[in-house]
Amino acid sequence: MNDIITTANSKTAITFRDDTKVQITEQSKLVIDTFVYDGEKKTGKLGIKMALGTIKYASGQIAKNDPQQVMVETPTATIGVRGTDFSGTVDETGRSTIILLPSCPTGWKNIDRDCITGSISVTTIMGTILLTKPFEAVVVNTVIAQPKSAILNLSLDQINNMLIVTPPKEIREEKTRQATKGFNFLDENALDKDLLKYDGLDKNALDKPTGLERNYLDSDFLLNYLDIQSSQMLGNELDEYNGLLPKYSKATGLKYSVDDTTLTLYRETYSSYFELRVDTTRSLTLNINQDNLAIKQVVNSPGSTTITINQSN
Amino acid sequence: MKTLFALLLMTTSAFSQTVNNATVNLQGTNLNVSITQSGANHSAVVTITGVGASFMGSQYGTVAQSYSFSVYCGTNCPVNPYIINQY
Repeated sequence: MNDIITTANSKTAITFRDDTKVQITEQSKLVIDTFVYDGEKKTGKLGIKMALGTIKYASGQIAKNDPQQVMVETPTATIGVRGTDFSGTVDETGRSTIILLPSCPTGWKNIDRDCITGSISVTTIMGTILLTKPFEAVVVNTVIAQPKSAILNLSLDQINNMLIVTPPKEIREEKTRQATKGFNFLDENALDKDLLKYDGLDKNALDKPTGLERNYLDSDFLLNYLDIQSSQMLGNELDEYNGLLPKYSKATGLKYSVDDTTLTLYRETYSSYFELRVDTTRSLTLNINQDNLAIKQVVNSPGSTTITINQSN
Repeated sequence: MKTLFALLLMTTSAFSQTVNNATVNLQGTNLNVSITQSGANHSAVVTITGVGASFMGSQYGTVAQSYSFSVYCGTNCPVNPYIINQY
């Protein structure tokens, strides 16, 4: 079959004859390998390959009656669907983020009461993990990664909002450039670029941000919840060497500055701001819940002190 | 049995719809700070000297905000001083 669906600036959705529904976001590429369906027996076979972008999948009759016959592949994982919904995102490196979603009827109000959550399996060379809980997610970086899951603190609305994506910054800039002036390949002069120029030594790796360098206008309120959650799941091996804030992730929107002996951790949204100041020698675990987003940050080492900050509006 | 210590309850405005309250309670092995803000553009700073921690919660615009800040301090919880500034 090998039908290829590629989106650029628009979203699309496919409803298969067995009522399987696949929503596809912008900048995505999907290959339909196999689709066979017997309408009388309500069985068949469905094979999909996700090459890039984000999809939201809702099971149809094949997955309900013969789940072994539904297979969704990404560059790094194979997803077995057992009569449920899920979202899948594949980035340019092939990294796959798969989130099990509850199947909710129209007009639902309470996930626990009104929705049904099935299960999906995620398989790599290193093994298979079964996702069974709503918003249970797995991030697979490579085919040789052992899949591990975590429960995301997200709502269905937030998952749906993830399906609204924008193209990468470079593409937007290029489109703006081409729109504002007639693009002329002769304008591109490769000789103007100094490929030998190296400015890595201009930066002092010992510099730490200080309070005076804080820019309150430099806040990104449109955070990518997937990046936040996956970065917290994965950590960053390089950040392990940052003794003061192990596994610190800028993607969470949590910022910090260090002045003399005081560590200031702060985070702001469009309507709220909190700031915590502690001694840099203190060891503690900080749990933050702000706008339904959960962030955990250790200072020095977990220690015996736990600080919890809850914000709501 | 640990005593419950309520230190301060302040309201910054005489108008009932404008609220900027901050309280500190010592509850067992936890020190609990609660901040409630409505009206517009409030901030509250709570400094807990014994723990060496200072917390600020701010409200941007008119969306009401509430913060709860809890420090597990085991058997070394300070009774005071707590310093609260609101503006």
